[in-house]
Amino acid sequence: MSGTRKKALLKVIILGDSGVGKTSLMNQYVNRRFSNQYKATIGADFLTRDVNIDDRTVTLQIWDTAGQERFQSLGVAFYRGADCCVLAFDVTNAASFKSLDSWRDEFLIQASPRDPDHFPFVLLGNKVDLESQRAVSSKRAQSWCQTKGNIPYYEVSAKEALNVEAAFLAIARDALARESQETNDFPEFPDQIRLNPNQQNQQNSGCNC
Amino acid sequence: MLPYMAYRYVKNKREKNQREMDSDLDSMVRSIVPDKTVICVPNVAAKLGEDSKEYIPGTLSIVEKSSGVFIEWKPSEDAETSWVMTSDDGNTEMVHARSPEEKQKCGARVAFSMDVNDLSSFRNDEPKRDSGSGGFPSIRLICRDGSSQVPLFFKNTTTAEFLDRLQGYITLRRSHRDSHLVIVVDQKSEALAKSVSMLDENGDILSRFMQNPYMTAMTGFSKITSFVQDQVIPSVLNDTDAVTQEEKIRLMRELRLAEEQMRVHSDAAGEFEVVTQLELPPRPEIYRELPVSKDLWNSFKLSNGSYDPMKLHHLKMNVFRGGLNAELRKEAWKCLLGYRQWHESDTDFQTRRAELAKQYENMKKQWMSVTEDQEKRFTKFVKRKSLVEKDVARTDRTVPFFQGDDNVNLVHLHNVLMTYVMYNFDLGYVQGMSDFASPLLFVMKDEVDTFWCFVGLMELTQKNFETDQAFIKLQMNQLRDLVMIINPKLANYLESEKSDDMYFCFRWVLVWFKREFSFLDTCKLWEVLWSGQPCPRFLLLICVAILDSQTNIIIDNQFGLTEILKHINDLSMHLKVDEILTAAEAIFHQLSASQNKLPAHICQYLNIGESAVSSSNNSPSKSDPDRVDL
Repeated sequence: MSGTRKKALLKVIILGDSGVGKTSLMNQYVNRRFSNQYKATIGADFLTRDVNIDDRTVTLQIWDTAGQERFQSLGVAFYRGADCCVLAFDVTNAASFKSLDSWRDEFLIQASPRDPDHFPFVLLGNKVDLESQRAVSSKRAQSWCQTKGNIPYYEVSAKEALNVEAAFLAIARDALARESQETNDFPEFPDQIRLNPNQQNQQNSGCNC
Repeated sequence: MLPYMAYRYVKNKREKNQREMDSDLDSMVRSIVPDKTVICVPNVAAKLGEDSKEYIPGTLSIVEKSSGVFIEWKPSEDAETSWVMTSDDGNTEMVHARSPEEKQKCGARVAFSMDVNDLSSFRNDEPKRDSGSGGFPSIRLICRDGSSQVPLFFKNTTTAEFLDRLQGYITLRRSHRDSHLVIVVDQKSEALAKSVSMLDENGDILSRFMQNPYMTAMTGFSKITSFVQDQVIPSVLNDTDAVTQEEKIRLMRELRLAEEQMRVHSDAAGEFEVVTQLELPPRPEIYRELPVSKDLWNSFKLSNGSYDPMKLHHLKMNVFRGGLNAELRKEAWKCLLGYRQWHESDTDFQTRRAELAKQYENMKKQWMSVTEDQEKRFTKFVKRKSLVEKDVARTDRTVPFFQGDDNVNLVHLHNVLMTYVMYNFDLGYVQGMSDFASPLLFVMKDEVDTFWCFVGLMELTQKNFETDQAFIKLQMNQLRDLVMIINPKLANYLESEKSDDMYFCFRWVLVWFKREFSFLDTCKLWEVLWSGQPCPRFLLLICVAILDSQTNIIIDNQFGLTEILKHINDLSMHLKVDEILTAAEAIFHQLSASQNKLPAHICQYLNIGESAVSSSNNSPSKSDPDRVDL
């Protein structure tokens, strides 16, 4: 029975410019569907999905945020205790790629993890289904990742469900591996450490209302 | 020997690769052990949203699987029709409101399968003639992460059998505070609570608490004693059913913090005593009126088409109490938003409108004539333009008025927002503005009128969009103050869960509930707010009314920071606009009747009490909604 298993909760924050597909990525991964009718996100929201990794059930709590910078400062409380920060850009929109530095800095300032140089980021280049309109090459994205301490890069399409599953699974694996090394990203918020089997907020992927 | 060999083989392999084997076994077990449906209740329909009378028929079941026990709801595949409730006593009729594909899509969107271990509580409403739940019992499941499933209505059957079966897996208990709320009792905390109550009988946890020297010293202050008696002791004692030991200890810790803050407050402003001792009169029963009809509206006009200044307050009160008939909106919104002045005659307005139309066309030409080459050196403009384009494409696209790829209304919306960028380039375009503009276009069906109404609406709301977000923060603080007065228990709880920044209400306040109600309910809510009655910041009283109605769910489920946000987000489209407006108005009367006991700053921003300025002669756009200094 599922209740007897240890369930880890991993908190993942998606950041990036408005319209790069943050809500779509979250919904594709959690609900396995795509809609072009998502509204611009106001405030913050999250969805959760359980994944099995090796012999553990891990609950990914994926946070979707508003893409306009001025709204970021209000949601700081929700950044705290993040296990991973997913930076998203639109491969057909060069400006969204240029903003990545400021999104990364913004997260490090707001969430203030203990060791900013080693906090796990992942980069997702979305909308690769629109190859003909591509404005940011894979090579360029990869070299940016290298300058930021080799953060993993995935080219994905929320619309075509391309690579989304693989990217989030890798995110979960990586965060779990860090947990086993007992890395403590937020020493100043000891109650925020998420990998506690007795934690209440566990939920399965079925809750997709 | 063969079985033994097989055993050895398995054992060796398992030792070699325990993990892999485990997952193999897991999936083997999963494929071998069939799912067992324990109970299957047909005719359980999902209601998509509060504004919709449509129910999607389906089946609710409890299924035992190798991975756990699951509560599942699926839309029925065979039923070709949805049904609608035609009257509150449960008469229904079948409708073919949607195509089968559409219905399936809707059904699939709300279908769910959830582990019983993830259930935190549910609301169980029995039919009541005057309630909005209609003639059928309903349940709404609430998950541990704060999310809620779509409400399910039991047609021609009761919830009893389903709940009986459910109790085979989890322990349920009705909340003592709210008989409609059923809580899943955590076995562990239940055991703990028992041991606490045993402790209580012997040692009396509260008397020891009172013997705490620090506390004893504190009781010297009469205010604090009364605070303890009024607020804390009831919440510790009266609700022992829901309070575990951990919670008690937490409460005590909070109390100590509260005392400290109280001293600071009472020293600084002398207001805290008032706040905590405030006894509000009971909430009066309020009824909504019918929407204002064209005839009624016209009866407020003089012969030249302007509005009788003597009757203006009366007119606005009518709008406040009932909203407007849909056919009247095009005319009335112009006045409510300050685009047309109340004192203006028909001819004067026509003359001025012609001038405003010219201004609009000029500003529109400005952005339309920016060339691609110019854009290369005009980053701020390009950024605004790209935001507008992205948002127009995803604003209210499910509303028929904006549906379809080549919808000309999208062009109009885009033009209005881009022209506003030129009108107010410093503010530019900020997300949320398209939410404000789209109902205006839907009602006006004309770019010029939409634009100038939008300018009027932005007068009321533009501070929400400023870069420093100071005005949003100010409103959040005011909201917290109001919750503290109306519902100190909830305020206390939110503080203990570090949610007293009220961020979970951000969306409500930023776009005035646009995302919480259907398109048409939003129109109604907005015109009520634009009436400027009965006080400025009535929006905040609506927030208080909704939060107040969720108190038991939030506290009994022991929601924390993230769960509260999720729960509030999931209220979207499941709120009843009239119920909330009457509750908010009742709260206003409560506050108004206690005005001489309220802290001065609250009287000031609600414009009640001695400092109140008569608002009857001002349209909301003219009265200063921001009279509180930042």
